[in-house]
Amino acid sequence: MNQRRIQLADHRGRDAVVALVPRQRSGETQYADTDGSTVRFSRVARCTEATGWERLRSEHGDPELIAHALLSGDPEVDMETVGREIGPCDRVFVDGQGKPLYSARPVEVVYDSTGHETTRRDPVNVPANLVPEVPPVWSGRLLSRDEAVRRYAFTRAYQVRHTNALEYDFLHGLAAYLEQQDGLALVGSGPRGAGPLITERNATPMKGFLEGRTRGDRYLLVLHLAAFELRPPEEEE
Amino acid sequence: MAAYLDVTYQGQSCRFAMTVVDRKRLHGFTKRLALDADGNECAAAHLSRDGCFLLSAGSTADQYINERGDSIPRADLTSVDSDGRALTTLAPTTGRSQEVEGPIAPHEILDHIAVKAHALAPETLSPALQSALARGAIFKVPYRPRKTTQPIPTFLLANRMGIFLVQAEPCGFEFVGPQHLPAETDVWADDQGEEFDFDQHERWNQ
Repeated sequence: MNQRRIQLADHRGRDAVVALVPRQRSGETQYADTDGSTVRFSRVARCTEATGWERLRSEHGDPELIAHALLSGDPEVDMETVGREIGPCDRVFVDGQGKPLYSARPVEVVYDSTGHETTRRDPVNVPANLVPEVPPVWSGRLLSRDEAVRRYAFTRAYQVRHTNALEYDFLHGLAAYLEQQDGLALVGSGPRGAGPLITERNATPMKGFLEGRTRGDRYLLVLHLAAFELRPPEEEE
Repeated sequence: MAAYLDVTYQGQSCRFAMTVVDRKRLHGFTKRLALDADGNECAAAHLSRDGCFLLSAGSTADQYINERGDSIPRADLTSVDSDGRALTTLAPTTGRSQEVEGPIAPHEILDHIAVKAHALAPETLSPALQSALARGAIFKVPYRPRKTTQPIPTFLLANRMGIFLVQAEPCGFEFVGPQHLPAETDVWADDQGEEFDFDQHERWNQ
């Protein structure tokens, strides 16, 4: 199993690569029919590229002719396909005629906060930076819990866990320190350890904060990731 | 139509207009498109693994089927837990004033992740609630925009930029001791909703 790792520095100038564990979702709700029989989700085909509107329009052109074709021959229904359950699929790109492309050129479009396009550029892959090439730096910047929760929207959280005794010692010490300081430590990239964290390639850069609590020899160390600060959006003029 | 939040604090009613706040609305966003050889934008579609079906947007339908294979209308579905017991459905709180609970400690929010946030513009704000929020108090609010079987932890708080309502989901993290090692099943379920994989382009061109 591919365990995610992060390299963390602590207040004592030490660093270690430790495990990140995602939150466990609570039991998902299931559904039953009126008889109490369990039901399952199913995705079925309604039409295909060969019977879709675009194909009909390209074949018949005029809407009157399409209507006539629908009445006379049911070209919009493929009896072999409609209602068939769709299994696993791969994503492909299709051109204006609905034909799959074997090579497509990706372009990155940038939109401003009002949804208007501002620029287009060639996409650049941004690598994850949880385990950087050079050891990370302890930022030394602490934020009180109270200020942190009222300032940021923490949209993701990962539990920082040990996989051996040395890591346990490192993480328990870090959690105890943060608990004693009653604050969250800014954890980030760059020479000052305050830059954004990118959890995986091309993921949204986020601000990271470490929160620690201890109960005897047990500890809870959580990496909170903030996607944005809580502030009202600007009104569009 | 604007959405409103109606709450009661110490017997006094307050009403807020709600505006969704997210990263897109604050910082903008980027989207990756695919262009064909002529520079025209391409649409995404799905190709079944057996290669038989090319499914463009709108060419599939979602349904629920029972053990006999019958399609069940959504209106006839009942929410059940993992043991098949029917769950109680909680009614929406929209349009009904809810009593705020708290104040609560900040670590209660830290036990959750935010799933949706709203900026609140007060239309009626009691002096008592205004004063409490200005002092940094954080409250829980029973808030359900639609009927649900799971309560949605929702927090009311303020900072120097305004008043906010944050809907959340619990993290469920537990304290760990020296003997507790991460399980092999702890995969990154949260990341499955990331933007699509553009490696396809690289693989196609290899």
